[in-house]
Amino acid sequence: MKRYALITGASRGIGRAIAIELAKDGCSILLNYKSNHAAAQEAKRLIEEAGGEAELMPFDVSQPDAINAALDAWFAAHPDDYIDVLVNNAGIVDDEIMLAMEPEQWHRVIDVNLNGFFYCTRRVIEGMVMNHHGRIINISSISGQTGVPGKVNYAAAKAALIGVTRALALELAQKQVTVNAIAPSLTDTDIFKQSQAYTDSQYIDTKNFPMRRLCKPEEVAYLVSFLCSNRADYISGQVIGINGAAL
Amino acid sequence: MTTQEIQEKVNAFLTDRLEYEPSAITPEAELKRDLGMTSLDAVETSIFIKRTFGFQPERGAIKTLVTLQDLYDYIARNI
Repeated sequence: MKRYALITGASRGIGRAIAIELAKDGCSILLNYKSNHAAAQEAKRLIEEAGGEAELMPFDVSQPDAINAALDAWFAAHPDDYIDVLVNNAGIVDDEIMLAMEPEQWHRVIDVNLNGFFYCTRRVIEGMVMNHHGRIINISSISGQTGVPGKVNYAAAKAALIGVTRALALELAQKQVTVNAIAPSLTDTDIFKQSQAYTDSQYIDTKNFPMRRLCKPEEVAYLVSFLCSNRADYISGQVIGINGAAL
Repeated sequence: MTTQEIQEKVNAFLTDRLEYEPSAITPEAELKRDLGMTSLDAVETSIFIKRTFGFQPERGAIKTLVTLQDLYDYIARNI
């Protein structure tokens, strides 16, 4: 029986690295992305090059109707299967200091980074509960632990993901479904480049980082791989930082 | 489907999937107090009913049932 892993926001950055790593582990990848078809195709190609398999599943994680349509179709085509791994990775930034932040900037970031977690997870956990096995991994951020200027919206969403990780882990423990959060520090991705364009350079000068460098997407993927393995059956409700000793 | 068939399917679900103690499975057993049915078990039972008996229990309906006999009767009324 195939093991299916849905990774949201998997066409680029951390999500793509996770998709490739889980594919190497033998998972059949459901590769979600919003609209960048070319990047998604490239991610699929890289997965296949690594010997894995993936199908593209485009939808906007902030749109429950779109999620339900995509997953209804998938479940209809796979009546005997379920999604055993869900990585809630899709995220956006829209940085601004609070004094200048527009309500739309607040809501958009919360919609994608937090509400997207709810919509996707709500739709997928039934199969995990019925099969008494599953892995949910929420990609939080060091921003949700320490706060970062210019990111109150992002920090709010990422801190909330830590709260939901704890609560949901307790809810689902009885069914052997684990729920964990990973909190990377600044990672070498497009989101980092967007933040870099905005934030005062002193905050993201890697010379100020304990290890003098950014986190690599692959380093997040390695931890996801471990948490999805049977070696991590008893690890749940945890927030694991990947931050090079920054916290 | 006969009453006996309903009871057999439900009992098998309760012992095999929810891992309730077989000796505790009696019609008069209270789902929560005697069998230890949790909120999540109730949701799983709803999904089991939908897949096995072909109807979707109303939200929260299972949690309102007291005994195992109530559960049998609820299913028999709705299929």
